[in-house]
Amino acid sequence: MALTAKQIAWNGLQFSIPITWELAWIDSHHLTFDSHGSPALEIKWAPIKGRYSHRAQLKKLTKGHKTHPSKTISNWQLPATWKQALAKYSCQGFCWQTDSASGYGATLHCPVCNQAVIFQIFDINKHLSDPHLLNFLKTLADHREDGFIAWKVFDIQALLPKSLRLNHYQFKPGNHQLALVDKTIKVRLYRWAPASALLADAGLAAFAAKALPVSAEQLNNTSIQEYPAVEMRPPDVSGWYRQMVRWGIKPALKWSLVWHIKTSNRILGISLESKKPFQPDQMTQFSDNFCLNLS
Amino acid sequence: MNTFAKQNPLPRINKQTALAAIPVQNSEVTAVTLASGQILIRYPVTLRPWLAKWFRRFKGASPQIRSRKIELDPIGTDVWQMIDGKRTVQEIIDEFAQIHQLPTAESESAITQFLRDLGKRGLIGMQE
Repeated sequence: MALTAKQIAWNGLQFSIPITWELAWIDSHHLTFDSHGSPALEIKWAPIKGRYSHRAQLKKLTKGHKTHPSKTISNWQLPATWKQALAKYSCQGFCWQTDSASGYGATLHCPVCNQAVIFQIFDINKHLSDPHLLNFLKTLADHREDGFIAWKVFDIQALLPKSLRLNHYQFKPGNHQLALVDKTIKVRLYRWAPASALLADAGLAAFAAKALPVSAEQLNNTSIQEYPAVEMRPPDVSGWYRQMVRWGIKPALKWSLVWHIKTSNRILGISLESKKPFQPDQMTQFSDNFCLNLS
Repeated sequence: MNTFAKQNPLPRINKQTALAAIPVQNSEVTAVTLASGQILIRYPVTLRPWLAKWFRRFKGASPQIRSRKIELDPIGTDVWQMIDGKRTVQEIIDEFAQIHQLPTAESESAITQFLRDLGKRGLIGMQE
């Protein structure tokens, strides 16, 4: 069976979309997708403070949206199939129309995580009969039960603890980065491509030393999931670290791992930074849950 | 001459037309392949008219045409070699994505940015 849908997961929200839809805009709580060069789907989400009101959320989430003719937004009766697919949410449909464009969508409220989601489908007549649209609605989830948050955009995917909050992201051609933080640790995930060009002049260690940046002498050759890798392990904290803490100085400990996936011509990397000593298997927990998504 | 007259904006072209255009190397540009396999581009730079006038007045001779050099990285070298006056932008994007096993969207973003930079320096032109 041909693969016709792909999964997207970003900052707590996850859903499936047709494989032909491409991510056109990414922000921490805002995504838009294009279909063959024209806009197809826009989705925004935000946690709620206080009582939830569909009208207030619609106003808040469409505020400052230059292309959105807010004055002409009107209520829209959601189709029965949509209501059934979105049964776990309290939802309200809306629509707007101009001479050249139209949008049909809904504001959703999840009573479990108290989060509001607003989405709109452009060119509804083209997509309404599309079974993928119903699949998008059925798979739309704004929280997970397992205490993790999934990240699945472009060609990277990761499953990270819920406590890690998005701090920074970058999706430049050839260089994708995701930085997350919590109270004790800073995590950076990297994806570089094309590896053949990046490693043409020097080996993986020299590349990692330049990209992270770390000293090349600190990097040791290793392997991860049968791929060649270089690792900079944190220093032993038994003696000097305790002494520094006693003096009131708490230097950040760093642990970095970079590996080369030859089969897909890409390089992946993880960098951990913490003021507390790492658990022995902490890097393995992150590296096992970070991989390429080539579907 | 009214220097402050409002200039007509350049005609806007859509994405499909832009991707169907054929990039062509500037004939004034010389490209040398270095021992490392990378390409060194040398291109002429003309002085601004007011600077050329100043040169003529104080140096007494017409200013020499200056040239600048750019050394392309391996990825830039690959793309430069694909600009042969036959391939369209879309064909270059597809070929680059295939060679480097990259998603087409990422390849498109990288190639269009690179071609834009080359165009700004006058190293290439676009043929419809």
